[in-house]
Amino acid sequence: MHFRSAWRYFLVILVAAGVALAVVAFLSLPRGHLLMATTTSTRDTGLLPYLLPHFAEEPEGVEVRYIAVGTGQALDAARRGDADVVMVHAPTLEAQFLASGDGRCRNLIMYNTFVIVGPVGDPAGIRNATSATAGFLRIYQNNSLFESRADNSGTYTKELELWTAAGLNASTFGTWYEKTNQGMGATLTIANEKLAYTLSDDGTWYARELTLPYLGLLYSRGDAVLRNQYSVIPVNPAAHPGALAEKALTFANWLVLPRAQALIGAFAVNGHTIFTPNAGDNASNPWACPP
Amino acid sequence: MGVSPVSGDILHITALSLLVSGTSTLVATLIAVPIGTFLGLREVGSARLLRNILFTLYGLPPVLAGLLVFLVLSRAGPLGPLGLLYTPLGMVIAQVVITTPIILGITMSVVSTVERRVKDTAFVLGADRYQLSITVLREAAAGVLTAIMVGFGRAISEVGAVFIVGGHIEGQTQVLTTTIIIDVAQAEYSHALTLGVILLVIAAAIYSLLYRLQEKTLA
Repeated sequence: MHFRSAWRYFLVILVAAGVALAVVAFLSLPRGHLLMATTTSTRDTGLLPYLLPHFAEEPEGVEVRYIAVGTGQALDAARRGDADVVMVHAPTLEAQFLASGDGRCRNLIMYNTFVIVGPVGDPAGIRNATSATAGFLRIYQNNSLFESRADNSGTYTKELELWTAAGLNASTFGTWYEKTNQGMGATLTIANEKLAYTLSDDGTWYARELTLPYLGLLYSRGDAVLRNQYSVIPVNPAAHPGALAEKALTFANWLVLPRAQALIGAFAVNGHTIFTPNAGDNASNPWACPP
Repeated sequence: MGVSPVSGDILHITALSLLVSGTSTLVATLIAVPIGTFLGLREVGSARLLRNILFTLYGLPPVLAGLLVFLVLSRAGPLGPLGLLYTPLGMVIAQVVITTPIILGITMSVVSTVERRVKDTAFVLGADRYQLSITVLREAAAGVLTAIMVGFGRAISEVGAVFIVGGHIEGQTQVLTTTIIIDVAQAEYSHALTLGVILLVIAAAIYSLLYRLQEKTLA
């Protein structure tokens, strides 16, 4: 009796495990959806949940799923073969990705603007700075608390570019310069709590503004250096045979069609349109995707 | 036109959490209980060495388990061709790695404690080695159940490994714990709190079930 019941338990668990594994395996089956590696800003603004279903509805469209990480990590996911397409915003890193043969081509899709946000009291006086670079210099001179993404993202790359343009080297900064190593949303939350300055893209800022009562938008002028260009890069099938390369290319080309560009231009967060579609610039883009 | 950054159906997220953690606990049980019983009954030599190794794995930081499973499942890794990274099955594998040593460790302790108590009686009554194992396992049932429940509790509340291996893909690998992390980064505290309460309710349900089973077994 004892022996039989021990076996019975074992069998019940075995069957249950088998059934559960079958369900999980079914959910894990490749469904033909594209996997995109992208940056946190495209998710945090709500652009992707808004835009991607429109692509799925197209006759040649498919479902696009995504992991949202920093630009560096997104490119690395594709480099490892774990994603089919990337949507990122760091031209220098993108150029390396294309040069190494990991990326097939690059379509310019849209841009938004980087802004400097900080404590409403603005102790460093960013509001009346003459340029973004001058604003950064004031933060440095004032030793005002600054939260840096420090996460290999497009925003962090831009931040370092601004410090360099101000004639400074971020690796020499003192304790006022804090590194969160996290995404834009998390970094804004931290800056809000610690009354610190940080560099953000305007989209994420407008999406989060209402939850950040201690922060204000202090510098949001159209310096050329503050333009934040987003691109889509399908992976190169020669380097990554496992990727859904053709669907990825279809998606990259769909994003620059008038319909998708109009959808992007109409996307608004809390009443602010934030992305300016600029597929027209692909006319002079040597890496533009073949139709 | 704006879309809330909080996305993903709560029911769907909860169901996936239960499915992933439940599956991994069942698989871990199948591996850990027989091995744990076997090792718990043997006190000497190589079994002792194996036990020490397993007790070290018992303390395996989940996030390290996640990193290792990530490297193995990534397309560039040894199991890359299977395409399991960023899938629920990948998350199950990570959680099996985390929970197996826990269930194994507790089973082993419980069994060896019971064994010392019943061994002589069983042999006097003419039991062989296999019959002894079954008798011990039966006597140790409450402890083994505890082991399984602790394993499940660990699995469902774990966040680092499922984040690394699952990638928190909306509607596919989004579970309660990873969603709470993302919610907090987005200052969606009420949504995070709702999910936290669900986690708490699951834990309470599991432990009250455990308590009842133990009472029944001891009765």
